Amino acid sequence: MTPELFALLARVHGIVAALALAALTFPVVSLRIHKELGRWTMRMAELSVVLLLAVGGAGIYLYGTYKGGVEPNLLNAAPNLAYLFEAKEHLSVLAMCTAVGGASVLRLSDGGSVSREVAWVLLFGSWLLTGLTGAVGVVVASGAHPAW
Amino acid sequence: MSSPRIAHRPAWAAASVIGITITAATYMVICVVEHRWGTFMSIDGASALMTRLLVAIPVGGCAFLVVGTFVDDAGGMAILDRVRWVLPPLYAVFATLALALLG
Repeated sequence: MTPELFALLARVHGIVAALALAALTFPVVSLRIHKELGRWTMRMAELSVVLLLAVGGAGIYLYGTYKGGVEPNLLNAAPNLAYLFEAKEHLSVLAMCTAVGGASVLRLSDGGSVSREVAWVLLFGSWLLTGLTGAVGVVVASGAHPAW
Repeated sequence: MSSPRIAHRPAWAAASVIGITITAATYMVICVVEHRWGTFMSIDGASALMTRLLVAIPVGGCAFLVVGTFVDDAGGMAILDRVRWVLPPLYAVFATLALALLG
């Protein structure tokens, strides 16, 4: 992968992640303020899962180039950022897991109060984890650019 | 004719929560093992991240199928009722662990 393509995909990866965070906000808020499970709540939860999985797919695609081309130099120049990337990787997996779980509960359950609360816990957890992953990602991207 | 709908199945909703949580737990266990003892496994051609996912997702998938198959809807509702209190601290531990595995 060329440095230019890496830089482009890394930016797209970040932008789609921000969109996923925005999409997740809708069901997180909606599940708190409405007593009924709305159709758009479910749709936005599923959209956020699709976006998060797309972000994860792009991350996996970038991962090989990062490991081979960026991380070795980063470990020398800024080891803390390289280690922080590892944490970002783990947090993003947790964010995807919680989003998939929350959307699945909304889709499969009866829409009752218990199901909505479980879905909210998972989706809110995903929202927090996605935000944390994004914040760590911004810090890592400040040093892990493709000018290796 | 109405469009087909997925039937509401609390057992499968509970199965998805259990399955996804076991996936996350397995992933974190592999991370801890790797952090403590170095990379302990490698699936041919797969990166460390992919290797972790290739182990964690099937484990969680099996849990999903087992719970969904063998638990009835009343049991599913009971599981959902209980896990809502367990999930926040559990994922807080996972996230803390992810941040603690630096360096």
